[in-house]
Formats: sequence, C-alpha cells, structure tokens
Amino acid sequence: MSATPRTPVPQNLQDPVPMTLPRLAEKKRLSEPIVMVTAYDYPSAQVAQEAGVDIVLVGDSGAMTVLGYPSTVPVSTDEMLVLASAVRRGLETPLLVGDLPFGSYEASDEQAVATAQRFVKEAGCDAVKLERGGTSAERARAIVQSGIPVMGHVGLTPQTATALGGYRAQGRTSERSPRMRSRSRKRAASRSCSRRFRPPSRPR
Amino acid sequence: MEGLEIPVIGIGAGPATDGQVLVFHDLLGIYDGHAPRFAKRFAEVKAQMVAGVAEYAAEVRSGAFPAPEHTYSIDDEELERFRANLD
Repeated sequence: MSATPRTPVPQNLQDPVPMTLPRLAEKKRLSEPIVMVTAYDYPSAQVAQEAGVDIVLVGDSGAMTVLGYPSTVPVSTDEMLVLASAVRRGLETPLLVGDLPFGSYEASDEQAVATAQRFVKEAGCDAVKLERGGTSAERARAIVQSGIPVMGHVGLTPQTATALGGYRAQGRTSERSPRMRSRSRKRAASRSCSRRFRPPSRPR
Repeated sequence: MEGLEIPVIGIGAGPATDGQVLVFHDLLGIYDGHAPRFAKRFAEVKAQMVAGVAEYAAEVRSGAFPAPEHTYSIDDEELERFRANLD
C-alpha cells in the first residue's frame, strides 16, 4: 500500500554561488536573515544543499542525533571528522562549519589550532565552531590567526551544561545578561566570524 | 543584530539575531529525544521512515514483495541450456 501521500518534490533551491564570509557580512548589512542547519552525513548534506541554506554546521549534536550518545560530551574528534567528511562530499555551496568537540581545544592554543586544522585538512570544513567565552576567546583568536575562520557559541553551551545546571536558557536575568554580552564582545574582539546565541526569546 | 559587527546566529534566542539555526533531526522530526520549545517541527520524517520500513517488512512476510517487476528473468531457452549443462 502507498498510504503515505507523496509530498511534491520541491524545486531545487540551491544557491549556485558558494557562501563566503564576505557574503555573510553582506547579508547582515542588508538585514537578510541567514539560514543555518546542521547535517551529519552525505544525504543530510544533499538535503541542505538542495533546500538552499546558507551555512551547514556539522554539530557535536550529532553525538546525540546520529551516534546515540546521551550528551555531546563523549564524541571524539575522529568521530566528528567522519561525519564532517561525509557532509563535505554531499555539499557544494553552503559554508561548512565543523564543531570542535569537548576536550579537543580547551587545553592550549596549540591544541585548538591543531584540531581546527584537522577539520579543514581532513574533512574540508570552511570554518570551525567552539563553545563558551573565557579561555575559548583566546583559542578562537589563535585559530583565526592560523587562518581558519571561527564561529563562537555563547549562552547555553551543552559541552558544559553540568556547570550551567543543565540544559536551561541562559542570560535571563539582569545579572547574567551582561556576562553573556561581555563574552559576545570578547568573541567579536577575537574576530570570530559569527556565533550562536541562546538567550530566551523576548516576548513580543 | 546591532552592537556586534559579526553575524549572530540564534537558536531559541528570538527573531533579533542575524540568522537562525536548527538541528536537522529536530526540524524534520527524526530525533525523538527531548525537544526544546524552539525546535519547531517542519516535517514528521521519522514517522514516514518507520511506516516505510514496516510496510517493507510486512510485504516480505506476506510474499507481496518482491513482485515480478522487481525480479530479473532468463529466457526459457537459455534456462533449458543452463539446466542441460548442470548434468
């Protein structure tokens, strides 16, 4: 039986021009919303490609969504590189960002640069993402200086969710919000290319 | 988003950011773990996948699959020659 109705195949919406950092900056300048989605393998990358998104993130969320770990903490760099390489093979024009997993960048600038280079050399990523402020801002600066664009991530940072008291929206108080603002500014000062931001929705 | 030169991508942060990100499996309804409020489901892909595999399993068990159109065949004459060669 074919009980499930076939949804019409959408037209191919892919952007024929590769996404670059200057193009993202232009989108921001023109207030054109930037569309980002995660992908973890060849078919999901092809879906993102054909749907015409701007940025594809090989998130460490893949630890949970495709590898079945209970959190993002256990996933290794080698595992992330398998996922990122598969995504690269299915992706043409969106910017490809690889997520540095827990334990792969915190120890030193050298460790951070070496891991970021693996994502670029072995998996073909265009940029890398890492979590938090503090020393992460220094790591981000070191990676950027090595020639690899960095996406920061402040707010709810799952790699350190235990320290935050679980998966809870961050920056909801007048005391915490300035800390996040300060972290964001530190990230901007380290010339990161963008960041994810996860405070609560403002009621409209 | 004013105040920062770099693009800011939000998740659960409201519409003021320069862009949005969602997890593939959340937005397509593939992952059935805890879904936060911001993870809007734009499709129910897991339900379709389960239905598809269940239908396949049912057709194998009932004999409905594979049907003649899913099968490769051989000319009767060729089959006869093959059988003769077996002796």
